[in-house]
Amino acid sequence: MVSMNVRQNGAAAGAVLSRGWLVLLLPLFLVACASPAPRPPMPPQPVPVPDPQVVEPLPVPSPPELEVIKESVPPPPPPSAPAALSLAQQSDVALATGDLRLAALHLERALRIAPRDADLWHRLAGVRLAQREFQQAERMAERSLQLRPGDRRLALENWRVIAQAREARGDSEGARRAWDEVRRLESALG
Amino acid sequence: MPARRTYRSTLFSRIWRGLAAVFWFLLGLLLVLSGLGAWSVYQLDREIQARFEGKRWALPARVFARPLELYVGRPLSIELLRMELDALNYREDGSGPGSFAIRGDTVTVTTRPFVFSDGPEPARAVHLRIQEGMVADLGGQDGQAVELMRVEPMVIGSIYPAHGEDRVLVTLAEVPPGLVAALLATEDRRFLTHRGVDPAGIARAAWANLRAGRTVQGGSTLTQQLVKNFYLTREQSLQRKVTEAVMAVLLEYRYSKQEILEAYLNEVFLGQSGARAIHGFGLAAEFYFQRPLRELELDQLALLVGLARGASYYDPRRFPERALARRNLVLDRMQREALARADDVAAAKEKPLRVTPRMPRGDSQFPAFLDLVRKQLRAEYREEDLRTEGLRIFTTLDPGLQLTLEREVVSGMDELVRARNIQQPLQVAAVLTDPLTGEVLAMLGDRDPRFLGFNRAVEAQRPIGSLVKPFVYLAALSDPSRYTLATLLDDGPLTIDMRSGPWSPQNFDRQFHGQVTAWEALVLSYNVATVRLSQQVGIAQVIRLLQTLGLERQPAALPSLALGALDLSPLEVATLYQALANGGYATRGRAIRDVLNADDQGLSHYSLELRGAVPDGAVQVLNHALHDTTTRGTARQVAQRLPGRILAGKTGTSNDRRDSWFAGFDDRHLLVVWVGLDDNQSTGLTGATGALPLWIRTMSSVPGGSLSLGYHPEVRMTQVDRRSGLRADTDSCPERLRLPFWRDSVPRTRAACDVDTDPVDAQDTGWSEQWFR
Repeated sequence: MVSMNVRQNGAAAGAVLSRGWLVLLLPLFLVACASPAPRPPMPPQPVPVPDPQVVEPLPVPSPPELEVIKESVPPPPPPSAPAALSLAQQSDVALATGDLRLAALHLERALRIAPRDADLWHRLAGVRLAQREFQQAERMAERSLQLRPGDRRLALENWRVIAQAREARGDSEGARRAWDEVRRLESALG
Repeated sequence: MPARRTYRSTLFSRIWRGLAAVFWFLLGLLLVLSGLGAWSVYQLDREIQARFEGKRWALPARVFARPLELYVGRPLSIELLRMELDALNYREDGSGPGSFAIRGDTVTVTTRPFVFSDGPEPARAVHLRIQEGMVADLGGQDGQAVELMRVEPMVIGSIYPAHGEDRVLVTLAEVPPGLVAALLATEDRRFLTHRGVDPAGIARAAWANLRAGRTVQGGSTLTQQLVKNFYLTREQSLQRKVTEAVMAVLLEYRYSKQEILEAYLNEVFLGQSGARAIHGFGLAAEFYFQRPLRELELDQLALLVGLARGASYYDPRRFPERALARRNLVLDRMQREALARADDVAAAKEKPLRVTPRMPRGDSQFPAFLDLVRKQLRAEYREEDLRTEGLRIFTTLDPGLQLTLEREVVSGMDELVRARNIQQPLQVAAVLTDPLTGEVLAMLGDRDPRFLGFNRAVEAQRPIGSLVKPFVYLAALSDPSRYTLATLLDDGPLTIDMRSGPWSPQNFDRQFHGQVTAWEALVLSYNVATVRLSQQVGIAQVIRLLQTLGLERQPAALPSLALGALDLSPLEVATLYQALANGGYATRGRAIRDVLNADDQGLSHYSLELRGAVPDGAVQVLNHALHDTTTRGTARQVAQRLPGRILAGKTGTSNDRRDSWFAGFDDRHLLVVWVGLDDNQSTGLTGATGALPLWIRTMSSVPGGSLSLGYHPEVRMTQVDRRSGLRADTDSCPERLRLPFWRDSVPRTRAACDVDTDPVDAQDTGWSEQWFR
């Protein structure tokens, strides 16, 4: 529309002085009527899109049991890139000011650098929980558990996120099992 | 006499009355005319304000590649870095922002500032050392280590307004002073003092034209030129000139010199490229020099200013001599008006034109990827907003990998066509993603990477053949109490009664292999055993798995699905394979990260999302077999050509060799390649002879990457007899396999050949060990 108005304005303005005085009023009224002042730009409106077909998920892998963890010796976690750590710190700063969006942006950027960093997934799970994206919070906490199965302290924190996310989604049975896991880890850790 | 007097007095009074009538008529006319004049001036004034106050221009959306992130440990080669900086038109061995230098394994880069969705990134000068395929050191000029930084992203396309006007807005503060000086010296010496029209300038121009006998000078002020371009048609007439002058005076009355100058700098027409009109100095700097305006030097600024008078007449690419003369004239005027120093002018006049020979493309250099971006955007944005709101769209495209993919696939295709003497127009499509984040890194939709048209990577739906098999096996392996890689499957003759009649699947080699392990059936891609397995697991279960991993359609539950009677695009295949490279988690496929409006406020963010999941223990077991496929199976060329790298993948060939597929991955990259003919005729190529060589070529140029077969606390390695799939603790069986087993699925029964003559410790010894004797 904007470009159309430009053309109309231009043509009409030329007409003002070229048609002679007696027919002046008509084009002037036309100008006045035909080209209202451009309104301030509207921000583009995102159109809601339907979610892709929802499919029944297969059973989500249950996080490993502790007994199994004891038997096996997991490899040490890969050293986190200092770059990813520094982004995690920036995300903490954003969280401290209540800017969840920025905190998530920093963590997503960090995860592009170190996508197998269990700690980053745990942090993002926490931000998603705060953003009330409960399914993502739960999945990301599970991904964190999957990536560093031997770290019980991290597991405890992840199970807390999972329990809260399940509670918020109304999955009381799932939440109960998650809280059991939390308690078990708490007593194991002393 | 009275009669005469009466007559005279009557005549006099008649004349008087007539004169009075004329007087009143003229007075009325004058009033009406001035009223009308005032009215029309009022209307012009309104028009001026309406356009000047609102959004002045329809601004195209700019589409950006992902920015290059630099940090210690980032996989990178000198070659890829150079590609990326070249694509950004950085000057090699130059200085200042937008330059770089390479000395051995050390690169010095000076970046340009940029605003991202998470905040501004300042310009920086850094040194980086690249060793063993990664950034080993990163430090600033002051010697301080730099933890993390971004190079500004390259523009990979624009979405233009319908009228084709393109511009990059600049503010007066961003404009080099030399540009304004050159502009005023050439176009309007008294700009800062006149009030819209410059009578002295008009008189001078008229005198000069009179003396010359033709038009040699214009008397229009910058304000008049702006009015002409901004509000009026190109028609030449006296009336229009008067309108122009009135509007110029009104514009000056309403707005400051700064505002008018800034509008002029952005409005002026400075070039044409096809249907795309280059407006304003911001875009002209990129169009002629591929450089931001603020980086231009005096000679370049003078050239651009020279174009204001006639961008096609002085086009430096078509008429370089004319353009050079014009540029030097501008420089001379600057010197005459004392707006530039004599030695600066002399130095600038020595310089050649320095215009980049090739016109930068108005459309995208990467049409297939941009097509994907537009499809994704159209779901959420109105086309009109994309064309006019000046949106900034940040995508996931990795320019270095995109150019690598193009180079390798194009030359690989040439080689393929030549070696096999293929006469038909063989086509190709490829998708490269980061399976851990779901981001599409590169895409090819046609054998000609610049071809804008049918985008096979997204739109071509072709039978995927054996690419579906991993999902049949994954469905089985997800139930470790029933299926392991050591489970024996029957690869003997099979006939299934279907509604359309009996169906007897055949193997590729037209032979039956009897009892084989699931491992062998997958690694060597046996059809009959796979069909039997899918019948046991249930086709419905396989479809459910595919949908969990991101398949957004409902295929018919036919037995032939297990052999890939399923038409998918390369992008859809990539979506399905991502979960295999990502611990069983499907990720949301994305080509866009953020959309910002013209004021850098975020409109949309496409976040990292984990979708459905399948058990990672089963995925790890499957990946082991897919890795073996690349060392001993149908894709064993991979290990021969890329020794030392741990990769996993699967070949696919549809009936009558119409479609040749390969899908495979390392730790950070998933690449799907399709080769075939648009008319769906046979190519004579299998997955291993068509798509696979292209895949290998590309992956060999992608830095990094060995797949981490990973560590899963519930997966254990055990030796089994290759024939029976039973445990083989000793080395007395003719051939042993070392296979992963998830949960308590390790075979308990020992093979008949496994005799305790020479007991061998069957303990796990780790993944890196040789799996075969």
